[in-house]
Amino acid sequence: MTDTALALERLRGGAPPRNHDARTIAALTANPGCARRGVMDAAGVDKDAVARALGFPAQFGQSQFAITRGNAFEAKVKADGCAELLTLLRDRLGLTVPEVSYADLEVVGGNEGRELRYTRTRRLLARALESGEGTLFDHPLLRLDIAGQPAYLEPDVIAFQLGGRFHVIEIKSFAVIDGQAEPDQVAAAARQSAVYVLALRRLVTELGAPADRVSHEVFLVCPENFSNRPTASLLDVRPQLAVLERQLARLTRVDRILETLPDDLTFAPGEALADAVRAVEARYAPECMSTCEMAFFCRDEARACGSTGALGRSVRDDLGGVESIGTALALADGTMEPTPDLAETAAQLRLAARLRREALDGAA
Amino acid sequence: MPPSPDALTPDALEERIAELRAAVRRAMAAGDRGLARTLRAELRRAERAWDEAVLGDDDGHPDERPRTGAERGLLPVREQVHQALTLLGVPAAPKLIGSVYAAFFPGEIPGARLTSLRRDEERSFRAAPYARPYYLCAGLTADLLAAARGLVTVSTWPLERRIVGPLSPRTDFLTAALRVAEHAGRGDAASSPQVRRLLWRFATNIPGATDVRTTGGIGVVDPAVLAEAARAELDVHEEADRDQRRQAAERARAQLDDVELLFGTRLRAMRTAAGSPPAAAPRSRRAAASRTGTAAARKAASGRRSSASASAARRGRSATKPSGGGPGGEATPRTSRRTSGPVPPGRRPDGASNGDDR
Amino acid sequence: MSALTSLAQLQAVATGRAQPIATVRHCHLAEAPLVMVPLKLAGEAAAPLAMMLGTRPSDPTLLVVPQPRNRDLRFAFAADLAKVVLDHIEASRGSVEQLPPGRDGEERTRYSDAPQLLVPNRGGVAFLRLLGRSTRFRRTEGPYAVDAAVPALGRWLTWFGERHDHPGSSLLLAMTEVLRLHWATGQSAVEDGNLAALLGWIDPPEGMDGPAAAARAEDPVVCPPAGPATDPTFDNEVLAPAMAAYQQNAPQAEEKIRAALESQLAPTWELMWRGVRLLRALPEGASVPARWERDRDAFTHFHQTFGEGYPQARRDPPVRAARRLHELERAQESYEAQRAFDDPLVMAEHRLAGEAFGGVVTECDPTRLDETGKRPRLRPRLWVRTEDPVRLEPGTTVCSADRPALKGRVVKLAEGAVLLELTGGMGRRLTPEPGTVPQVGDRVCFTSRVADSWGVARFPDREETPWTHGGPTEDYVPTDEDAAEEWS
Repeated sequence: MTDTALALERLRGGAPPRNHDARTIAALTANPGCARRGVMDAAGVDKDAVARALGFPAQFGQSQFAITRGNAFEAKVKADGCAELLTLLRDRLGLTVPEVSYADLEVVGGNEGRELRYTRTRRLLARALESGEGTLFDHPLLRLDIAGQPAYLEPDVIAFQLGGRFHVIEIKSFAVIDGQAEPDQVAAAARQSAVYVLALRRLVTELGAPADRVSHEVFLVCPENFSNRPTASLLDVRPQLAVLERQLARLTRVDRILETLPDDLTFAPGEALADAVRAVEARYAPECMSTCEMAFFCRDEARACGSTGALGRSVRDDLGGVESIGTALALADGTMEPTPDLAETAAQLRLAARLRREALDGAA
Repeated sequence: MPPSPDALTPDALEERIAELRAAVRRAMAAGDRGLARTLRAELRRAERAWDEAVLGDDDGHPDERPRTGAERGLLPVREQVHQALTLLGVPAAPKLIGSVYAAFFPGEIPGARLTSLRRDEERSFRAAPYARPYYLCAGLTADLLAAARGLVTVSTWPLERRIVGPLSPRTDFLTAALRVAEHAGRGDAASSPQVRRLLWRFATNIPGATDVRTTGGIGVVDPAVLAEAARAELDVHEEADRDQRRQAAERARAQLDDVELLFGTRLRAMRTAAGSPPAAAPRSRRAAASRTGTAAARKAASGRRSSASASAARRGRSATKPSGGGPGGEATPRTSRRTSGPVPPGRRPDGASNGDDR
Repeated sequence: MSALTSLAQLQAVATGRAQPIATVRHCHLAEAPLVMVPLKLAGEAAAPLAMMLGTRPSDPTLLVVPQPRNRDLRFAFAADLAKVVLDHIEASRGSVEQLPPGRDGEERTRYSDAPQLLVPNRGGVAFLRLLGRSTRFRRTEGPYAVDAAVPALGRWLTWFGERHDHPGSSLLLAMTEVLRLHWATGQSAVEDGNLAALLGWIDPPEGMDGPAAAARAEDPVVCPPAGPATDPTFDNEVLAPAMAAYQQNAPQAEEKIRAALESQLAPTWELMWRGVRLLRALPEGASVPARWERDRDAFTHFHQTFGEGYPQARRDPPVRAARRLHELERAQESYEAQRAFDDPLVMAEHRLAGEAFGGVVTECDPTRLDETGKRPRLRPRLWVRTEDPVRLEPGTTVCSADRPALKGRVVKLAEGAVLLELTGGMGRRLTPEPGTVPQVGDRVCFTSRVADSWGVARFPDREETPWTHGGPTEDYVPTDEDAAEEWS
């Protein structure tokens, strides 16, 4: 094992690395500047367990109504040899009538072992590349190396081939109403699909074909309006792909961060966990609460040290990038002399303070 | 330790129920399933105690079975399924079977029973092979000859029909459309809403099958038009599909034993039917393993060869063990597969989704 | 957000309580608004689960759908909801005011009052919009028939949703948004989306400060979310078993579902009325009645033409879309300028940005005449000493914050002072009316952000929609397809 690998294992406290999935990989792109998250993700630390051990559990849990609805919609789309899906593909992507071949990669002859499924997926996709055989691949298993660990990705998705290209298909149960869907949900779907596209491209390259045999357009299937009828749209995920590739490359450079950390640092459970986590700097922003299990711990830490970042990036920007609430307040009431680079910010803050005072006094 | 639920007044019970609910929710939010389970059991006890205290016994017990409005009729479920499959003539998923039955036969098939059907049939066959005139069994995948996920077939069908190749899901769908259209075309069955809905379900997914006129969302399908359209597309795939199925059937006859021919191979835990000769079984499976060539099958086969006593013990165990996913059972329903993420307090109350994929 | 509001947030952190960012209330608040707290079923676009609504805190109506996938129950809910909402709308007309006839000589009237809907948050607004969309096309006959009130409800909800987009409108308000317009907390905008946490900062309960109250509010078991989304553990542990029991016709099952949903709605209901009280305690801004009058105009027009109209189309045709966008931009400008005139704290934002300035008059020539033109004109000049970072070019038009009729022009800027020439609002004669021109020593404030600086838009008639925008559109007539949409 390399030094880095050893260091990462030590950080994990000997526990097995956490399995990544498309959602957690997509979340890696959320906060690239955070060293704490970067190190933990590279080491495959179970952030959820750490957060819980520190007394700041991330609240997770999904409503079973949503799960049921999602499963039911997916089942409907895929029923009867993917009848509905074929109709959509023929309609929106020009799939021809003879192209109906279906391969079920979810359960391989009763054995659900991941390696087996992955191997079989590779084999069938390789055959498709060679002979053009195969149209729909249901629940293929893909693999992506994240910081030296293989992550098995299961597109909740069917990858298929049309005119020699693979398209990732994502079936989501949020509605498209009058041609429009919630932008947040579409963005999340795009980020997640980009992970699948990336994994599929790497596989295709390994099999000796050019990466652009995998289209950057993802076929998104959603319920239409308020019904259960599926409708489809094409999502261009090139921007998300670019961000993802950049961020994954960064993960491999985690050793630079590791160099700055104490040699015996570990996130193993125990008395020293809180200090260990604090030893690696975080970059908390309120957006973390929707992407990272450590968010509440980091928020508490940010609040405790009076960080302006806890109030949000735009607030910190309004304050000229000043990191500390105490500093900003002192600059505003003139009790602190600004350094040259903060002179303008300080003037702005003093002016703001004066204006507020004037307005509030006048109104009183 | 709080007093047993029976001793509490309804008011105190209500308080206790509220406390327990909160505790269960907290446990689940923190990911502590074990604690949640224990608390849930207590919660149910308290709720039952409340019901007894407040409603009394004479208000009638809730039905254990859901009253879905289905007439039970006199037919056992397996016979109902048999009738529907005979009409369809192709391997079909429980949902389609249910819809077909509801459309053309009196009453409905109770949904819960359908899911355990294949498992029950396999057990019945193993216990007394060929004792019944027909069995409801699995479709086999052409490449691995394993049980196809989510399909039911009839044992009396020719093997070629029961094997599914890559094109079969589509051709079977088209054949089913054809058969349903023919059946609907006879008599005045076409007037019932279930029949109309069934025809529509097929027609919207077969090019050329729908009429332009649509009223009220679900259009009126002309069974003759549907049949013609289904036939037209079937012509495109039929021959290739037939060839693939035929070849797979040949392989299957050579490699599989009786049970496997009906219920599919398994590459993992080996089970021999209590009645079939143990000597014959391993041989054919060894052949099957080498022919399919997957490493796991070979490994499993060799494992079996070397530890007869272990496999005997496994046999005893596995014959009664209900299967999860794979042959003999339906695919496990995915519950928490849609991975959940941290749900932030700030987002949730603002109306952000609390369940859809993030 | 700006340095001013951010500073207020810092002050909130320092004091543990929210800080005011407005000195007056910038929205109209009805005597008896219709407070609506909706809950929707997880995983669906807009499947209503329950709603608590009413115009008095002591008298909520609770509507529940015990089995949201049952179409009949869903539409029964919609019909019940329609009754409450439509009754409220009818009751909110007040009396009919006669107005002077319009340009074409036609009779014009305006209702003296209008309905006001209050929902907890943006999600609530979105939910009402979607509910409107999903009901306004329903047919009252044939297959899938619904009660006649349902499509009417849909059209009204859609109308409220559209008015919500209009800056300065008070017909449909989201409580979190309105509160955040008037107070700054010591937490982020994301956290402010939680109504309980937001109110915890603004009005913490006895013995707690803002942070403590907000922390308590983040526990969904103690403080149910304000919706429309429910808490997943509530769904799984309480609601799902209750609904299963209902499916199985267990005794009292419906009551149990109602009780469970009420437990999730009642706390938010209380919070809403607490928010109403806090807002009512603020004095109303001077321009609020004028904006409410615009709202009343819109209400009057929609109400009176309701019978002849069709449900709103799904998408805007191009001309209407462009016109609407223009109107919204105009209204936004207007709204921001008006608020500044009403509220020195808002004017402070413009002063911070250099678009307005305040100070003391140091020199004044109130009778100065400009004799360069054909006729002499009254053009007094003043020097105003100010510490504000004025960024106005000479020649910019300004007006007085205290009296917008007093108009002027920036002549030149000097270090810490502005030379201003007054051009209007002093009367018609060559000497100013008494009291119109500020005197030396007066505190003054002049702003360049004047309301209504946009001209009336010139848009082609619908028949002349340019070909680049798809050519002339046809009137929208709802079809059977719209009525037939099934809810999943």
